[in-house]
Amino acid sequence: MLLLAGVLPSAALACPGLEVKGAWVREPPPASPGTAAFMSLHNAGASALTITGWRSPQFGTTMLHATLSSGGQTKMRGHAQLSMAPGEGIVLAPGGLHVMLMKPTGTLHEGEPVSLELSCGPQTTSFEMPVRREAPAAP
Amino acid sequence: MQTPSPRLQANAGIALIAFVALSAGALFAVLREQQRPAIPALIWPNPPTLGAFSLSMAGGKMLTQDSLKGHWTFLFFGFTHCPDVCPNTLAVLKQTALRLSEDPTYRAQGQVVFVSVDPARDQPAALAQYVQYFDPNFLAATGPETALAGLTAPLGVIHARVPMTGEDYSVDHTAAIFLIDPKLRLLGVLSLPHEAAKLSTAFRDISAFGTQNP
Repeated sequence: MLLLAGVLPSAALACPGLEVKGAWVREPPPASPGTAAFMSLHNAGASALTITGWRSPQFGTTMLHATLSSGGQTKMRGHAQLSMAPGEGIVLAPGGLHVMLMKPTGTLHEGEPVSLELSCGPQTTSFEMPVRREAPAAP
Repeated sequence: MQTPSPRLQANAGIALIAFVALSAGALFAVLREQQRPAIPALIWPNPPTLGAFSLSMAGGKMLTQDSLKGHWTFLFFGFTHCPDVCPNTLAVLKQTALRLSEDPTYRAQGQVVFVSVDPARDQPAALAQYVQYFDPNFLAATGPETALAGLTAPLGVIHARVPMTGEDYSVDHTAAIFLIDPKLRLLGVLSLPHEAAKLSTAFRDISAFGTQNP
C-alpha cells in the first residue's frame, strides 16, 4: 500500500523532475460512468516541465479538466496541457483541476489501485493511486 | 375666532399621540418584515415559492411539490456523468446530514433531493442507485425538459449541454444547493464551495428563522 502513495520514477524514462504526491481516485458511485483523480504535482527539476498527456489502462477516456465556477454556474473544460516552471507546483483537487476518468474497463472499489501515466513529450511517468470513497483530510 | 376648549385640545392631543404610535408601530412592523437578518444565504424578504412540478423517480414514483411539502429540503441539480462537482457535493451533503442527525428539525423534516438535468442519459432507476450510494435516504428524480422547467425555472437554475470528444458531452449547470422550507418557500441559496460545516450552520440558522417567520 505504501507504494500507492507516491510516484515510482522509473529512472531515465520518467518526466524529469516531476514529483507526484497524495494521488487518489474517487470511488465511482454505481451507475456513474466515470470519476476523477486528484493529486499534487511539483516540478523539482531545473527546467520547465509540461505534461502533455494523461492515460490510464483502466479507463477509455482520460483527460485533464478544470471545474470552473462563476455566478453560481459550474462547468468543466478540458486542458490540453499543464506547464510548471522549475520549483512550481500545481494541485489537482475537488472543485478545481482534476483528471477526468471516463468509461472504466471494469468496476473499481475503495482501496484498489488505478494506474496513471503522465507524458511530458516523449517521456512518461507511471504510478498507481488508491481508490478512495472520501477525500483525504487536508494536510 | 373661538379658542378650542381644553377638552377638545386634549382629545386632539390623544388622537395625535395615538396616530404617531400607530404609525410608528406600522413602520416598525414593515421594517421588521423587510430587514434582512444577518444569515448568510438567506433569501428574505419575499422568498419565491415553488409551484407545481412533476418528475420521475425510480419504481414509477413521482417527485412533485407534495413530496417537498412538510419537509426541509436540500435540493441539488447535476448529472451522473459529472466526475467532480456532483459526487463531491453529494458526499458533502451526506456529511451535512450526519452533522444534522441530532438537529430536531432535520431529524423530523430534513431530506436531500438530487435532480438530474441530463434526462437523456440518466434513467430514474440508475439515478436512485447513484444517490443511494451516498445515503440510502437521498431521493433522485429527473424528467423531460418541459417537466424539469417546472422546478428549474422558479429557482433560476440553468443547464446547457457542452460537446466534448466524439459524441460525449458535459452539462454546465447551476451548482448552488437550494434550501426549500416545508411551505415550499425558497429560503436559502447556498453557493460553492460546498462544505458540511457551512451547510449545517446555514440549515440551523435558516430553519430557525423560517419557523419563526411562517
